[in-house]
Amino acid sequence: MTSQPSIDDLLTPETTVASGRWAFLALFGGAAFWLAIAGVLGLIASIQMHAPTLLADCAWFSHGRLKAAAAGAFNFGFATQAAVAVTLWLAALLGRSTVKLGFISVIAGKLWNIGVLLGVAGVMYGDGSGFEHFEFPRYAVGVLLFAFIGLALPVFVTFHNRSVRELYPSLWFVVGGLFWFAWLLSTAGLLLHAAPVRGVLQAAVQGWFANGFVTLWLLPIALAVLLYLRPALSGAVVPSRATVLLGFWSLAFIAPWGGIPAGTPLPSWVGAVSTSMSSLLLIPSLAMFFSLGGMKRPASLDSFGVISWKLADFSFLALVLFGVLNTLNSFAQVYQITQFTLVTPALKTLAIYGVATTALLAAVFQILPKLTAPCAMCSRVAWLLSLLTRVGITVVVLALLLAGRAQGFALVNPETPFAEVTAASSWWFKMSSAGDLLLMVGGLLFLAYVTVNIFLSLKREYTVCEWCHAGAKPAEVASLTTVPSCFSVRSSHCCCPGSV
Amino acid sequence: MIVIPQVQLRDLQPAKNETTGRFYPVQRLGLARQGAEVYRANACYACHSQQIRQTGYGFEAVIEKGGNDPDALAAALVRVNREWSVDDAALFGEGDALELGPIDLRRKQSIEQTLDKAKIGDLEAKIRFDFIPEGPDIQRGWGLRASVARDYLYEDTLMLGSQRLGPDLSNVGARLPNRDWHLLHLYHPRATVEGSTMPAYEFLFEKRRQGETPSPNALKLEGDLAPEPGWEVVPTADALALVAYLQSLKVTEALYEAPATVAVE
Repeated sequence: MTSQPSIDDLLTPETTVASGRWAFLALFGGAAFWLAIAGVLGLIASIQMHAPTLLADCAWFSHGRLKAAAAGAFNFGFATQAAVAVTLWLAALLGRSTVKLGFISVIAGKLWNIGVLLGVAGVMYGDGSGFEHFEFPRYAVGVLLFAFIGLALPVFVTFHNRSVRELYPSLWFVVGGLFWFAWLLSTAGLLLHAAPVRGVLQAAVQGWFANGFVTLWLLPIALAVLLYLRPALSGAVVPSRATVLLGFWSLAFIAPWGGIPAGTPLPSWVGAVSTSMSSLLLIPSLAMFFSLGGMKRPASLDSFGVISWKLADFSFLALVLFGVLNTLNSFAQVYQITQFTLVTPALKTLAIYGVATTALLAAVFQILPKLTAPCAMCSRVAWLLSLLTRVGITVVVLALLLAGRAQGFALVNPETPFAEVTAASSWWFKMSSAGDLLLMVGGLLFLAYVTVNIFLSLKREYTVCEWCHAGAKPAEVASLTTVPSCFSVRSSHCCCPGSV
Repeated sequence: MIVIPQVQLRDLQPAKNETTGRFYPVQRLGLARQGAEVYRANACYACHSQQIRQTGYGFEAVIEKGGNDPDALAAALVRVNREWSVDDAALFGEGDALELGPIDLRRKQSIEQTLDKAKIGDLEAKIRFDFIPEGPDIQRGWGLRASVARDYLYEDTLMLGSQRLGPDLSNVGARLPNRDWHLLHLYHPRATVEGSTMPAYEFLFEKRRQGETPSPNALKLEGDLAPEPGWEVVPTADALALVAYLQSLKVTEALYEAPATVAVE
């Protein structure tokens, strides 16, 4: 009688990914498409900053619409979709479960993409909502809300089916992030679209949403990735669960208060409280610094391991830098200069691109290669994409920070004519466009990479139950090759018929 | 952060100016209301804010009534500023702002006490203290005072903006009231503002053959911008609506929560 391989033998990272391959391919495919679109639209909008006549005679491509469409395509099309895929992966991997209800992810992913398409096309057509950072029209938001239920459901079911009861810290952030994003999207949809609050209260809602989208959705997912990847790749363990716990709860308590700048025409306590709480975001940043700092890259990593490590390293450094700069920017003396300048988008870019996007890409390069046969060209493309992304983000953030600094000092001096205020930043706009060009090329490479992976994955012929026992020992594999189905994670053993 | 301000502001109403009897703010109607939709559709808020910041306030002393004894008033004013001679002070007349610069509350109170001691009331003279909001935005002439919640009471879609790649527009209707200037600025921004980085909104205009008589709305274009003979550039309904909206952006009233001394029209 053949002994049963235990679930611990069978659920390797490869089998976990294989169990949800359609979901991962669909979600990353959609994300890659929107990243490329966002890159192209963002680059045109960026060039228009120093070449204002570019496409000026075409309403669809006017600067404001392009900027809003690019941000929507990136935030909802790429970042959110990739983040959901990553949460699904982490829920399965760290809960030692297969991916459950993957087909719902695929369907909901398609619906989500329709929502994003409606949003981007609506904004470019002139149907934008007018709410900065939440510009998709109401019909698109409705579709997104509905689709998100479908996207989140498989993650929660997979999480519920985990065989490891004690939660790895990444899962705190995964579950928290999904709940918070649902809260943000539904509240903003309700108070800005369905039953709009009046007057200046809209500023409170849109500021709260824009801040929460970064600090309560993308940052938690990025932290979940970092908390898993850095220890997993380096072979170290997270030194202090208590410190990570402090990071989690401080983020959960502090982040919802931010996003409303001092001086916003609301009761003055609102801006004061919001700014003070924003400055405290340094606490979760420092908690992560002490938890994940000091881990070294081992020499034994494969090519994708090295790429993921570099991206995760960049994300980690960007996180700490964001915490410090965000706190500095909360001081009244600094904020009086930086308000209404490009420092605000610089910090947002640092968080969304520097922290979240690099962490998401680091995860992608741990997921997709496991679905395909080894592909030498793929790792070279991934290496180039990783390099372009890191350099592009650095150039854009630096250019926007320096442009914002020049702009801020010129703005607070009333003797400086306004034409000189914009002239002070013009060189930095060109530098920012150079960074955007790198990011756009990176986006196109990512689309190419994911497309090739989808084809390679489809071409790969899985033998019956192959991924089921990919982690089993050779003797066990021999006994399982003829079985027709896979395993259920509820049991602690492989349930492939014939193996029992 | 959302619920408590909602409770605080839910009963906010327009304020009545007791001098003029006018209410502020008023609902935007007609073409200006349509223009807000054009502003929204083109996401103009991506580059323009509509929010004036105020860093502090000061007072300016103005002689409201010269009274019946100019020499006695001049003597009283010298007590206010010992750098003046009586001859200097005698040059001040009704409506003149005393060259004290914006002064703080403590200095204002000290001046009031000095003037009380000099008994300028007995001379039937009167010195008024104007409330002067301060800050770079106000000094640039972008607005009169800090923006407050009441200013946005009737905004259907609030477009405060978070960037100033272009100037603040909260009071643009008062500081740039000329419709033709706005139309030309939208058509070719560098024709009105040298070095402007604003994109041209040419799609808001139509170039067409002149009819028997030129359109009254046709832009008066010169030089390189002028169309060929027999052609004219006319604003579309969207352009006219957008300009009407920009002209409607006016913050000319002081409020209890945002005091400023305002000349009554």
